[in-house]
Formats: sequence, C-alpha cells, structure tokens
Amino acid sequence: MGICGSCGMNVNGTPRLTCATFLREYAPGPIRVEPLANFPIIRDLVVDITDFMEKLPRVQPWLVRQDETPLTGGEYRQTPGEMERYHQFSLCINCMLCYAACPVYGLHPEFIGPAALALAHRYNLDSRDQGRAARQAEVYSEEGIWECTFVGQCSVVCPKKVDPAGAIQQEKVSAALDWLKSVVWPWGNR
Amino acid sequence: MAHASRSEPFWWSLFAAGGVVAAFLVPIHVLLEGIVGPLGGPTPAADYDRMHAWLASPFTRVYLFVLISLPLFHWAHRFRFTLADLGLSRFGAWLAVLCYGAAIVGTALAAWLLITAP
Amino acid sequence: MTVNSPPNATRTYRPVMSPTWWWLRHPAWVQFMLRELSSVFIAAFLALYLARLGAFASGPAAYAAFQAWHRTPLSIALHVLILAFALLHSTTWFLLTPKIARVHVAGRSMSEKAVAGGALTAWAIVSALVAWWLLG
Repeated sequence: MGICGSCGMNVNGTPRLTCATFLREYAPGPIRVEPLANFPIIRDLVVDITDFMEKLPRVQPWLVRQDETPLTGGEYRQTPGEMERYHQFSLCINCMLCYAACPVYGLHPEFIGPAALALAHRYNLDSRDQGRAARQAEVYSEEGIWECTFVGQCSVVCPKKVDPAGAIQQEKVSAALDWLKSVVWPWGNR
Repeated sequence: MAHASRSEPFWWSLFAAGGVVAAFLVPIHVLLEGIVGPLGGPTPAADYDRMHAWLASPFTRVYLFVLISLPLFHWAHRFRFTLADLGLSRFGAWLAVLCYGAAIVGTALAAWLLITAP
Repeated sequence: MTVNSPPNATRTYRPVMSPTWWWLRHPAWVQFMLRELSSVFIAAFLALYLARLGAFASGPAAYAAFQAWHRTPLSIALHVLILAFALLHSTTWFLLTPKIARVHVAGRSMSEKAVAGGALTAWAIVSALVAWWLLG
C-alpha cells in the first residue's frame, strides 16, 4: 500500500493516495473525490498522464558516466554516507500528487515539475553519477528549476517525504554556484 | 530546444542574498527607525545631527548600502514572478525589465546618496 | 495488456484555473501569496529609507519635515503594517532555510528543526546587535 503510486486523486481539494485515505478521516463528511488536479481529464476519475511520462526521461534519470569502467573493474562502489546524500530523493513512486498540488504546474504546464526535478537532483547527488552537465539543458532551463517559486505544497502532499521543493531549491544553489564559477574562472573544466 | 538559462542564476543569487539581508536586518530597522525612533527613542535617524554623526563612519554607509540594495533585488525578483503568477505572464520580458530596472535605479540612487551625504 | 495513451481523437477536459484569483482557492496558497507580497512592503520601507537619505542630503529643515511625517499616526500605522510583513518574510525565510541548506555536522545531517532553530537564533542575535548599535 502506498507504493505503486497509481491511485492519486483529489480528496476534498487535496491530492491524496486514495489507497491510504480512509472515510473515517473525513467523518461525518461530506467527502468530495475528484480526478487528480492539473492533468487533462479523460473521463470520470481517469486523467491523461502523458505529460508527466514525457517529462521524466528528459532529465535523464539514470546514472550518466563520462568514463565507463569495464565490467572486469567491478561495481561502482559507494559508502553508506554517499548513499545517504541522495537516498531521500530516490523514494519517489511517481504518484504525481506533487504535480496536482503545484499551482505553477497548473498555471504553466510547460514546467518540468517537482518529481522530475527531484529525480534529477537524486542523480546529481549520486557519487557514481557524472551527468550533472548533461542534465543542465533541461533542469536549468526556464521550464526547469527557475519556473519554481517555492510554494512548497509539493513537499507537503508527497506520501514518501521526498521533499521535491527542497530538491529544487538545492539545485538552484548548485546552478548559482556553477554560474559563479563560470564567471570567476571560465577556463576551468566542468 | 531547452537550454540552461544564463541569466536566471544571476538574478536568483541576488534574490537569495537580498532575502537573507532582508530577513536578518529589515524587521529591527523598521521597528527602531519607523516606530521607536519617531515615538521618541534615541535612534540615529531621530534627528539631523544624530544622523550626521552616524553617517560619519564609512562602515555605516557601506552597511546602509547593503541594507537597501540587496533587498531591493530580492523584491524585484520576487515581484516579477508574483506579477506573472497574478496573470501577467505574457508580459514576461517587460516585467523583468521594469522590476530589475527599478532595483538597479534604487541601488544607484543609494550609492550616490551614501557617497555624497554630508 | 498494454496501456496506451488515448488516441488524438479523445477529448479531454481541463478545468480552468483563474490566472489572477487561483491562489484564493486554498489556504496554503493564500499564505504563499502573502509571503510573496511581503517583498512589496519591504521595498516600500527601502524606498522610504532612500527618501530619508534624500531628505538628509537636502539639509536640516528637510530632514526635520521628513521626521515630522514619521511621527504622524498614518506613518506609525504604515510602519506597523510593514513590520508585520517584514516579520512574515523573516520567519518564513528562516523556517525554509533547512530545505535549501543541508548542514552536515560530524558526518551526519542536522535535523530540519535544528537548522531552523539555529537560523532563528542567529536572527535574534543579529537583531539585538543592531539594536545595541542603533540605540547605544
């Protein structure tokens, strides 16, 4: 329960995983169940999630290497401390409650969105990854992190406590530091 | 084709720095120079002579420049996005020019007033 | 069974989100908008400060007139309003600091409460220092 991410809907105006939402929480009622907000409604409670499915791969949510060691070199190893750095952001179950809660996504559907950006952050923080520069074009674009105004509701509704809002603000810091580095010593390699 | 923004990190950095300065310093200054001082408290801004003595120190002038300029850029960035979120997003470029322009003018004015203050 | 996205012929319905009044629909969004508008009141105070410096540059008479206006009930009320919004900015800013700054002490990350508590404490100390400088 609360792991497949398929049952997201708006309950009394708030995006919830309905498998984990009980009538007794809303007693004596009334209770209003609506399709997940900010997605085009096909019928009844069914929404079209194509936009999210299209945005997710755009941030390259996989380990990107600039130098691949051969299989004989063994695994890319990681300490528990290195894993802890990104662990929270790896817990996303793609339930899209954050997209439903985000007014920016509702007003500007071109926004890449909380979950995709949090996932980009997860990989940027992974010590085995070398792909931050490769992700920049999407993540640091106008439709990426800079569209976010830190409303914060995405993190409030997230059932897995991923904290996408925090992830996006941390990426803004990284982007700002990148920009500063490019200005102060432009000859340095990335 | 999406590309990493070259200008947003710059304005956001000013927004963040201005936000920190505003968060730390603005409330106490509003309290002292906007309320306590006018009601009789012994703040430097209370009268001309005290202000003159306070501004004699270059540290005061630099401090006031930081206090005024950085939070202005904080306001500019935040207000630009707020106006866009209130329905004006189609004027995006104009909003940026107006907001950052106002902050630049305010900063220049602050610098000039603080450099030339008697 | 494969899952397909709907064919292009399928109509979908998008509820309208008012570009201007959307934020009135949720209390959390109202709080957000108030937080954003706090920057306007801070900017107003900064503009007044620039006017103060301008009055000072114009001499003792101009400065006295400027201070006289500050003693009016209108000015006091305005500054109380500005102070309220400035406090809103500061408290929301410091409470959000843990989200943006992950602090590591001795190999473990500090809890959000600890980071926010540290930031708020620093704010109290800085305010006290400024007060001591201005009043002392």
